[in-house]
Formats: sequence, structure tokens, C-alpha cells
Amino acid sequence: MSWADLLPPFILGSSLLPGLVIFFLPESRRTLRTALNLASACLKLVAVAVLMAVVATGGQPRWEWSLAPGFDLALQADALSLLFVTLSAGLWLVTTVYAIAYLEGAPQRSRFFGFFSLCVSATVGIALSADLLTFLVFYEILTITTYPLVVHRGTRRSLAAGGTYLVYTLSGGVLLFVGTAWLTALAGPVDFASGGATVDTLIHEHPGALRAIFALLVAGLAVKAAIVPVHGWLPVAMIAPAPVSALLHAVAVVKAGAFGILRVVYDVYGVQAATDLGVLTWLAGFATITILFGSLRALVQDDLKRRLAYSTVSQLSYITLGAALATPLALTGAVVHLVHQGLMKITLFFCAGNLSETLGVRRVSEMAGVGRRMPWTMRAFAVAALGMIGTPPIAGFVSKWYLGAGALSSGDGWALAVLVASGLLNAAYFLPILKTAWFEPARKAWPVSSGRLETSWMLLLPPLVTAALSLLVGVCAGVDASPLAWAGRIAREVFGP
Amino acid sequence: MTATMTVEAPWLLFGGKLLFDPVSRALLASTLVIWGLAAWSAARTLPADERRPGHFGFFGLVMGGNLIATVAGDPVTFFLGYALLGLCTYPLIAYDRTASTLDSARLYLVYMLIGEGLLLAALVLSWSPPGGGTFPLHLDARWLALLVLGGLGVKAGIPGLHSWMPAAYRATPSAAASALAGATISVAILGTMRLGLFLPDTGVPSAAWVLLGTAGTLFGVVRGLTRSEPEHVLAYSSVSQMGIAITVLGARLTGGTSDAAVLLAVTAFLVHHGLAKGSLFLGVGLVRDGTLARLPRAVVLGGLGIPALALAGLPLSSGSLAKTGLAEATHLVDYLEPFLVVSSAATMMLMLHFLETVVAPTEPSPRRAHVSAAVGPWAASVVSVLLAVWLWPDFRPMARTALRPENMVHALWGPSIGALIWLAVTRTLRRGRRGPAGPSWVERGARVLTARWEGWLGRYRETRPALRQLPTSARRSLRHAAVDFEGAVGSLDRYVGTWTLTGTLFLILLLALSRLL
Repeated sequence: MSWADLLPPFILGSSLLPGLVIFFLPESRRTLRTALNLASACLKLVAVAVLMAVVATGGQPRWEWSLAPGFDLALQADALSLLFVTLSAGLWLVTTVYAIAYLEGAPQRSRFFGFFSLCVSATVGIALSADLLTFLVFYEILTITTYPLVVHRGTRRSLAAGGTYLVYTLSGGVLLFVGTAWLTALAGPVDFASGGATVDTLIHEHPGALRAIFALLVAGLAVKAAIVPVHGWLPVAMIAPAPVSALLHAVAVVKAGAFGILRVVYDVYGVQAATDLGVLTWLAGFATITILFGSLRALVQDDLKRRLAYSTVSQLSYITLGAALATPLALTGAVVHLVHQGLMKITLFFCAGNLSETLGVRRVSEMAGVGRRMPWTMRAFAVAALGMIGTPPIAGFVSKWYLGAGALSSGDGWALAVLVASGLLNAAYFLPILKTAWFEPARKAWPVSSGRLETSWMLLLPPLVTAALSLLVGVCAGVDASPLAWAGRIAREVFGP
Repeated sequence: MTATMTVEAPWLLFGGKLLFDPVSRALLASTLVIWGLAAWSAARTLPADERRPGHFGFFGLVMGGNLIATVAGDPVTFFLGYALLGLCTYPLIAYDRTASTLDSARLYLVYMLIGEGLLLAALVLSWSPPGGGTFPLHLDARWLALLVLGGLGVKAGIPGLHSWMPAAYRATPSAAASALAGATISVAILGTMRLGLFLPDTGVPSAAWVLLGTAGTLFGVVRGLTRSEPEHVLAYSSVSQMGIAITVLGARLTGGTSDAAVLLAVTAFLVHHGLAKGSLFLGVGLVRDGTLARLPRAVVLGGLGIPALALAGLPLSSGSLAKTGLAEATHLVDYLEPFLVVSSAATMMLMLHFLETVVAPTEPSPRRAHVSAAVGPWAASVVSVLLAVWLWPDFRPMARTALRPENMVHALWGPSIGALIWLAVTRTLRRGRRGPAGPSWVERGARVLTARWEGWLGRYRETRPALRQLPTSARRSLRHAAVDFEGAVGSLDRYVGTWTLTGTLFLILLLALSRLL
């Protein structure tokens, strides 16, 4: 075992151990807690960079740890996992900065940041899982560690939301568990690196069982990926504090579902088997319904975070749709949207948090004239919202273009129409927000800012950084190191050059 | 100067490409002139209040989008510019923040977003990955052509998709309006040329384009004659002028014409139209803020008359160069000659009507308080109309043709006929009338003539309240449908939410699975 093989567990541990330490820090040790949080987030980012360099030079670090006979936890870094790890490590850092400022003076911060770190560790574990069993373990850990974050405020509403969240995600977890167990019983341990070789050998013997297993696995994942009709927990869970919503909607929970669907379709079943079994058509159908339904529901929400939540429902299914269309271009679009949606959505939630924290504005109808009071927040919001609509050159346009081209290359022209329609619906629920914020006069005097900035710099910087990144990854999509180029590499690995 | 140069920017989106050929070079130069004069005028006229920085910011973005789209060498880069230009125009129109300007801006944006959606679909359809395609794209289906037409037609104001235009031009401050009406509209026609909309590959017959273009040409004039706001008249004039471009581009399909020559002639036409229209809007701005009322009448009439008559194509004007160019490039298409004469006559009538509306006293504008010193940019724009197209090197051959005596005489026909008809009609019908109040004669005559048009297209003013209701009611029913569905899902939620049911279901599921295993 070389030193590089220890990188995956190190990256996992870089948030796991500080998380555990933070639990035992007294509330008053603010500086130490902050230092620990930021240091571990930076350390993780550095470790991810090293891992990336290792993988780029052809290395395949793998680490196994035997939990029980026949049950190994296996972590491995491939192109897809690295993409997800980079996204979560990067956004964890900005969200940590944001959360420190957002929760300034709030009670139970040690508990919060402890679970926050565990939640990210679970996400990293999901990303680096080398086989289905390991994936399942971290998927369940994620469910459990997110619950305390959702109910952090401890009010009746948030406890009720937490209950809903648990019912949905644990049910999904059970489905995933049954699917995994069944598949393992049929085919033995399912390694992601095999790219579907295990399933291929069984397709003629057990087509029915394989279809049922696919349904179980995807249904389990669909809960977290918020696919209609099992999306109901997501709009309810927006009761959580803004940094949690930001992480939940951009990286941790929902992305774990979407990432899992990519893994199941491409690394457990493989494109050929999934196509032969005819399961992808169904997946595409559900994704389409979700895309349109989420947008339609977003249209009528006055609560800003609820509107954003329904927008997540819709946008996440772009990833599922791209996965289901199963062409190199569509997969590129799906994978790149994993990153792009994360950047844009986290910006939107940061901004929503800033509005509620600084001005107490939580509804779209209260946002009249808010652009003058918080211009930088609303500029970041505008960039991310326009990106969601698919305006060039912001990130969302790149995803949409590739998904559309992917739809055409698989002969599914209807999917292009769905994407265009969804873009118009996105415009219909995002642009009125911008118009209200910038073009309508304020109805009341805003609370005066205490400093020179419109709000605390730690609240302002994260959305500005992520908005700038959304713009950058769009404009420079053609650069070799861009998420698009990376996604293209993943697609080439799956489909061949 | 016929060399073509491309600049590659592989890092930009999916590989950006800029193309500098005679078409984009000429449009780039004229676009810069129009935007430069508009910026000069805006700097002089806009009050120094809190809206000013934002206005200039978006002014710059729209200009940037316009320039990118003008020199774009591939579909993605073109869309980048076009979308930037399309979206950022909204704040320019909504400058006043009054309810009616916001309405105009929204009307514009709805049209533009639908257009951009259609265009995006068309561009994705015709994109060849990886590395991006190159112009011209070969569209292979009629419906693809329809997507492009729908996408760009909104901006070009083809009849039926033009409704946003008069309202938007009226709402926008005149400096920005001069750039919108002069420069951004050309991008739409340029786009149709770049995307190969008027190529045989689309399978759309020449006659369809010619009919569409001719309809636009006449409809614009007839509708314009019924309006009394100068901005509205100019907007309809744009509808009409773009109709001319579409007719000529469509007629090229009949064969016997040289592509390069037609494209260059259409380019000259766009340059000429852009400069003249831009100048007219700057002039209207001065009328609105009362500046022109203080200048000698001859200066006013001359300054507004030069670009107006240029649009009609009077000899020695930029219009005569453009129209001679068009006629020359398509001389084998026999019906274009009379078409161009008729369109000149019609434009002449519309322009005389326009001059009448601006010279007649108009209501004071809300911006009257800020009397401008924007005579400088306006005067410069008139000079640009007089000289620019004659001096542009790529247009020299057209200039020489236009200056031939027989062509100059020929160019007199259309405007003279138009002027005579207009004079005769106004004189006869005005005899015995007292006072200048009420709609002009031509207006009333044209209203009668256009009753039919009004029936299905032009009546948008009457139907607009109903149309505005439509999205609301559609949204309401959508909301009901979604709420019903959500309600159903919600009750499902509650069932799933009870552990008993979930537990039972899983038990059954596990039993079933154990049988299978």
C-alpha cells in the first residue's frame, strides 16, 4: 500500500475527526471551534488537490478495511468520485465560513458544527465509495447525521419537518438496502470499477429480478434526489437554517441521490444492460415529470426558500434525465450539472439566508426594492438565477446545452423541448424576483446596516465567491481543467472515445 | 478589403469563434458608431440620479452583447451575444420604473424569452460537437427554419411577433432607443443570414419568404400611418424595413443571384437603416425634451429630414446606395424591381407622416425638466447618415453604381410617387377642415384600409387587456392543477408518513423478496 492509497481515508477523516472533537468543545470556545472548522476544511481541500494530481497521473488509490468477514469498506478515487469530492470539499469550506457568521450568537453551535462535519464526511464517503455496500453504509450515515441539522432550531415546525425528512429518507434507505442485498445475493459484491460487468453476466438469466432490483435501488435513491412523487420532504426541510439548506440543496443530501443514480446506471448496471432492460425510459419519464412539476410548483410559492426548494426538485432531475438518456453528451451534461447546479443553488440559498438574516425578508412579496439595500447579495442572486434559467455564459447554460445536444443524439427530441420549456418556467419564477428586488420601490425603510458593508463580510463573501465561480465555469467551459472538460473525460471513460 | 479573418477562443464556452468578413466588418463599424453616438447622447441627457449608473451598466452590457453577436463566428458565440443583448435590454426599457414602462418591458421580455427558447432549440439542433460548428449551418428541415425564424423574428419584428416593439421604443429613453432600433435589430437579420435561414436546404420555398417579407413591408407602413406617436411610427417603419431585407434574402432562393453580392447588399441596407433609424430616434429625443423647439425650423426639418428621406431612398442618400445595391444584386429576379419601387413609395409616405407627427406639437415628456445638450450627437448622427455608407471601402462598387445618372433618376421614382400620393391624399382630404386637431387624414384613410389587418393582427391594442388576462388565468388554472396534484401527493405523504403503513408495506415487500431469492 503506497501513501497515495491512504489519501481517500485521510480525506474522509479530515472532517470526521474534527467533527467528533467539536462535539466535546464547550459552547464558549468559539475561536478554537472556528479555527478547527476552517483548518480542517482547508486541509481537506489540499488533500483533494493532491488526490487529483495522483489520479491525473494515472494512479487509482484504493483503501479497504474489513468490518466483518466478507464485508469490507472500500474507498477508491476515480474521475466521477473526484468530481463530487472536489465539489463537496470546496463548497464545504465556503459554507463553513457562511455558517460561522450565520449562527453567530446562536445556541448549540458545537452540536451544529459537529453534525455539519459528520454530514460532509458522509458525503465524501459516498463520493469515494468503491462498491455498492460501502455506498449504502455512507448513504445511511448521511441520513442520520443530517437530521439534527434539519431540526437544529428545535421548534415544533422544524421537529415536524425533521420527522417528515426521516420517514422519507429512512424508507428510501430500506429500499436501497433491499436492492443492494438482493443484487449482492445474485451477483456477489458489486464493485463500481467493473462498470456493470457483474450485471452483464446475469442479464439473460434474471432479467425480471434485475429490473426489480433497479427499481428498488433507484426508488431508494430517488427519495434523496427528490424525484416526484417522493420529493415531499425537500420543500418541508427548508425550515432548516440557511447554511444547512444551502449544503442540503447543493451538495450533501440531494446530490447523494443524484450521484447514486449515476453510479447505479453507469457503474452497477452499465449503459448496455440498463438500455437492454428498458429501465432507462422509465427513469427519463420520472425525471421529465419532476422537471416540469418542480418548476410549476415553484411558480406559485411566495416563500423564497420554498420557491428555491421546488426549483431544486426541478433542476436535480436534469441530472437524472441526462443519466437516463445514456449518450456521451447527455452524460457529460448530467455530470457537469452536478457541479453547476451545486454552485448556483448554494449561491441562491446563501442570498436567501442573507436577506432573512439581515433584513428579515423571507417572502418574494417582501423583496420590493431590496436590490438597493443589498446590491451585492442581489447581484450574486441575479447571476445564479440567470444561470438556472440557462443564460449564457453562466454555468447553467453549459449544462443545458449538453443535455439538449445529448437528448438529440439519443433521438429523444422531446427532451430538448422539455429543457426549453423548463428554461421558460425557470424564467417565469426567477425573473419576477429580480424585477421586484430591483425595479420596485421599497415599501418600508430597511434596517440600517451597522458597518460599511450591506451585511457581515462573512455572509457576503460566500455567495459572491460561488456566484463568480458559476460565471467562471461557464465562461471558461472550454478550458482543460473546467468541470465540463472533466465531465467529458468521465463520459469518454464510460462510452469509450 | 474582402479578406476574411477568424479569431478562435477555444477556452470560451465550447470553443468561441469570431468572424471578421465584409458583412461583420461593416456591421461592426456601424454598430460602434450608433452605440457611440447613443452613449454620447445618453451622457448628456440622463439626469444624474440613482438610475443613471444602472442604466449605463446595462447600456454597456447590451452593447457588448450586440458586438459579440455581430462578429460571432459560430452558433454558440452568436447565442451568447444575442441572449446577453436580449435580457439586458429589459432594464433599459424599464428605465422610468412607471407601471406603463414596466408593462412595456415585460411585454418585450416575454416575447424575447420565448424567442430565445426557440432559438436555443434551433442552435442545439444544428450544433455539431465537439469543437462547435462553423457558419453557415445547414438546416435541413422546415420546422428547424421555423424555430430560427421564431427565435430571431421577434427581434426583427416580423408581423405577428412585433407587438412589443412600438411600446418598448416609446418607453426607452431616446438615446438607448436609438441604439436598440438602429443597431440591435440588425443582429436579428444578420443571424438569419449566418444561420443559413434563407438557403435552399431549409426546404422553405422562396415564395414563402417573399410573401412574409412583403407582408411585413406593407403592414409596417400601413400600421405606421395610423399612429401619431413618433416612436410608434418609427417602430412600424422598422417592421417595414426588415420586411424588405427578408424579401430580398428570400428572393435570392429563386436563383440567378450571387450569394456574396446579395449578402453584402443586405449588409449595406442594414448599415444604412441602422444609422438613419438611430439618428431619427436621437432627433425624437430632442423633440420630446423640447430642445428642437428652440432651434430654427430649417435646421430641425433638415436634421430629421435627411435620415427620414434616406430611408425612402432618395438619390444621393444612403438609402439610394442600399437600394441600388439590392436591385443590382438581385437583378435577375424580375419582381424585385417593382417591389423595391413600391416599398420606396410606401416608406416615403410613412416618413412624411413621421415628419408631420414630430413637427406637430407633441405632449411634453416627463423628462422635459432635463433639457438636453444632446444636439452634438444628433448632428454627428446626421453627418454619419450623409457620409458613412459612401465612404465604406467594401461598399464602393455599390456607390459607383448608385451614382450613375440613370440609377439616380430611377431612384427618384419610388419617393416621388410616395410623396405625390401623400400630398394628394392629405390635400384633398384636409380641404375644408379646420384646426390641426384629430387624426390626420392619412391616418383615417389608412385606418379604413387596414380594418382587415386590424381584425387579426393589428388589433393587439384592443385585445391586449384580454391577452394580459390570459397568462393570469392560465397561471391560475396551472396553479389549481398543481395544487390538486400536490394535494394528492400530500395525502400520499401522510399515508407514507404513518409508520404502520410503511412498516406493513416493507414487511410484505420483504416476504415477497424472500420468496424470489
